Amino acid sequence: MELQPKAKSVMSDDRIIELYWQRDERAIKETDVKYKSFLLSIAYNVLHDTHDGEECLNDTYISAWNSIPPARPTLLQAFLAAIMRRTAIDCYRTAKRQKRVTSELTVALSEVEAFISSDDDAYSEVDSKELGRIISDFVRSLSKRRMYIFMSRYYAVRPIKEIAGLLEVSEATVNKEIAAVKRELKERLEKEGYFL
Amino acid sequence: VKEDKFLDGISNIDADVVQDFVSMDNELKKKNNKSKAWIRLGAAAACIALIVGAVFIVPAMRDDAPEIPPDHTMLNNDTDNTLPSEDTTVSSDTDVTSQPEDTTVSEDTSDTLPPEDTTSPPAETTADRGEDTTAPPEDTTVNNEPDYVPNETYYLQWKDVGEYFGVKTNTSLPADLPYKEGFCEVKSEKYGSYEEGISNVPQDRIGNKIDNIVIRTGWRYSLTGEESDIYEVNADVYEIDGISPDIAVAVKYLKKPVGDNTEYYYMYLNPDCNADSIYDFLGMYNAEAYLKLGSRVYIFPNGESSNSYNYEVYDEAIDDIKNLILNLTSTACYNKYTEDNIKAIEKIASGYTQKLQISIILGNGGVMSVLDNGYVYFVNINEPFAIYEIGVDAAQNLFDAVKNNAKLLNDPNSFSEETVSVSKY
Repeated sequence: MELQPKAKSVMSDDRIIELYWQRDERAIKETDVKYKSFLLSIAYNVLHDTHDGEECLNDTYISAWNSIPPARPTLLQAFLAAIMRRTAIDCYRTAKRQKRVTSELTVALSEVEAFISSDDDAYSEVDSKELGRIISDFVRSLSKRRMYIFMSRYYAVRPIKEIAGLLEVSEATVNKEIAAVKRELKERLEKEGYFL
Repeated sequence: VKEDKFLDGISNIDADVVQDFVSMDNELKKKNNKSKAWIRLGAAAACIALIVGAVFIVPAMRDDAPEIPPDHTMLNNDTDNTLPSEDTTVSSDTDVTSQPEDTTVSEDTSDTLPPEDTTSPPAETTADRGEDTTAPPEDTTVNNEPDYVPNETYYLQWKDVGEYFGVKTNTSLPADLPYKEGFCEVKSEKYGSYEEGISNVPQDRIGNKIDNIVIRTGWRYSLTGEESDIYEVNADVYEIDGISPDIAVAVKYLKKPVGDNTEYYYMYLNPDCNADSIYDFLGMYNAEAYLKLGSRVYIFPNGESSNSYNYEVYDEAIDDIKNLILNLTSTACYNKYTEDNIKAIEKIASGYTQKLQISIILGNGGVMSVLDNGYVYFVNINEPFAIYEIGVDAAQNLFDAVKNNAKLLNDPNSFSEETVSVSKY
């Protein structure tokens, strides 16, 4: 029988994944204990709404439950982050349609809007996958520090201030680095003949 | 749509990039937490230095400082010093945590006071508080309450050493450390010593009902034996197909307990029924009849920190690998939480390079791990945890049997969602 306080202990990822594979509902509880605040921070940066964030969290747990098995993620945290981000972005899109969202994501997107094509006809699922591949290659080519800044800003959708705090540099420095990364990304996209 | 494109593009970033980011993020946060801890420590040290300075150095520097008489009532003689002496007596049941800063400073001028005066509060605070005679910091010396700080973290880390093999911890449990331990007792003559395992028993493995018991849970404090948050629930006990009730039984709660439900059959194990060899272990679970191997096998080339090579074992080779497992013999076993065993387990954990992981069904399913330094252990099959030494040659045979009879599915150096696996049984 599980005691409530025991649930506060942190289980290894391997063990949590095994619980998923055993279809043991404790997997979700252990995931919650270990990654709840991390996942909520992703949702909050996208949505700026704690209530919506909690809903996304539940959806993320259900998605993880439905994905493992067959999935056996090597890094559970990254796996959950990807699900949470996708879920939060879906929620963001719904909220945006209802014109009720002002979040860090809105700001982050406005930063890159200038060099993203507005050619609606060209948009397709294949394109977004290809774009994902190009961005992945681009991020791999960056220095570790710039990789971190880019991913923090556009993947984890963190405010500049928070990134600066984590890297222990000024916000101006982060802004400068972001501007440089954006320039390089634009060049890369042009080189790939993707946009503009 | 512009945004959608970019969002979808970013969302389709390869998993290895996300992984690198998350790893770096964790490192940075850990580093920042450490720095913050140092800053807090520094701030605390600065405060202490200030207080010490105010108390010891400043008065000493003041030429006109009045001589402090031995009588403590003179401490604050510019305020109310007419309080009756009984008001200044410290009661032994006061809150030891109440240490207002102002009182600390005011009475710190008492560096020349005799020891008995430390039981007295500053007169001004006593007067202000009326009948609530709050104790000054010194009352910790006369308080009769035990200095008792339950520490559940220590307990859990201690348990983790055995349960989560591969997670390194240097923690051992000091004998005099106060901690509180969650307990779960079975009130039954026959199954009183049984403990809940990690797994649930599938419905199709449930046999006859053999008993009805009461499960009692709560917290117990190590020093006093005092219990708290006690909860009791009735449960039925069932046989598990293929496992003797002397080893394990299935328990179904009749009323929903905290954290569990009334639907599942929970496995309860006899902790005294450790198999001291891998042969006995496999026999205990009737492996010859019940052991099933999953078709997917994982080899971690550089321990658990690396991505795995994922293999699909050819159908015709499954039985051969199963026979290799059934014929394993062991020369040593670590299955009890003794200090020597913990040390041995830590040594084993740090001494292997490659790990082979096979999903199996035995007892309740689980994972069998083979280490190239000659050890085998099973997770999610039974508890308590056990590691068996099978020797480097036997371990190598298992690695070879997999590599020579399976198709490699991935390149671990370029992780993608395709490395996820489905295992057939």
